[in-house]
Amino acid sequence: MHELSVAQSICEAVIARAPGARVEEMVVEVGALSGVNAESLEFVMPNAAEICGLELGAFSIRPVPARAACECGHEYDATQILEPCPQCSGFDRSITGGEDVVVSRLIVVEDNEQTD
Amino acid sequence: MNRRIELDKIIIDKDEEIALRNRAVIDAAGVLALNLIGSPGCGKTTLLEATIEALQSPTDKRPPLRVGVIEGDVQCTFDRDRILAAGAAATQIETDGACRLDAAMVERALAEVPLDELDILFIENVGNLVCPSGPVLGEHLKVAVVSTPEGDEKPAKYPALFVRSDIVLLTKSDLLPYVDFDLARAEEDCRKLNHKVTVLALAAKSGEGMAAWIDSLRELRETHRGS
Repeated sequence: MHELSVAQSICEAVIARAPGARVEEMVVEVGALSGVNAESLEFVMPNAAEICGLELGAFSIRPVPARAACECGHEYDATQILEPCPQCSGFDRSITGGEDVVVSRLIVVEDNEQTD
Repeated sequence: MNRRIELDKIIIDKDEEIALRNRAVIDAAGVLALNLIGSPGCGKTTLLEATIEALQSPTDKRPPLRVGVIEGDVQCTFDRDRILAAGAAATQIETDGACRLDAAMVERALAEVPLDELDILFIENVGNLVCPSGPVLGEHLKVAVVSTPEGDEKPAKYPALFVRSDIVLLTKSDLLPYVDFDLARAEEDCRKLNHKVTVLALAAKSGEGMAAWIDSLRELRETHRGS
């Protein structure tokens, strides 16, 4: 259970990129192989934002399946990771998605009175 | 006036600034860094003790390699003391409840590690097969450790770790006659999850399989220094 610390990392990363801004919209993709539970992350996200002092508006958590690229050229969603490539039945593949937690969409609003 | 800005995507726990900084510090010293991940009790520390001894063995004609260890545990410094007694540099991280190390913890620990005096740095993660899988700490390679009494289905059950492990060590192979552990099955599942993985079975207590592990480590260290 480390979803709270992942949520805090998300908030800190947002704050580092847009200090003082508030989040208007955020989408977080949680990979099936990320070792992070999407539901738990959704649950703790508001608490993490409060702890970090980030004003968090609309956010959604989107689970994404593992994605594999087989050496036979076929690319597929590896929802059952121990199953072989549906095209060639082989396992010579690279994981090309679903390994990470990614803030895939982030819209922030800055109160920018001084420069504008 | 309000400004609405769309920012680029952020990959959490990976390519993070701190991990990249750690990696730069480790690379500047020419050290090979390995992140060791496995369950509590799978034999990570015992393996490190045997590895330290073997890399500095006077009977080995190859030059000794100097080892440093960052030990990660929820609490206590038992493992650091064991590594120090084995003759290597050691620093303890007590995570105070956290189930895994993160790059910031390792950055603080690195300040105490005499990197210039080392060839190989092991970062022994908190005992856990799930949570430590994700974060990059600054290491070059991830090494998963599974002991035979845990069962041969562990790679299949915990794929997040095994898809990203460069090396899998099946430890306590001297217990194979007493436990139901199908070595071939475990190895096959590891290859299904990462077809480029290196799988080695070994026993730190009896020494079986240790020579192949030590050879791999020396080779990795050479390749790494050359790159």
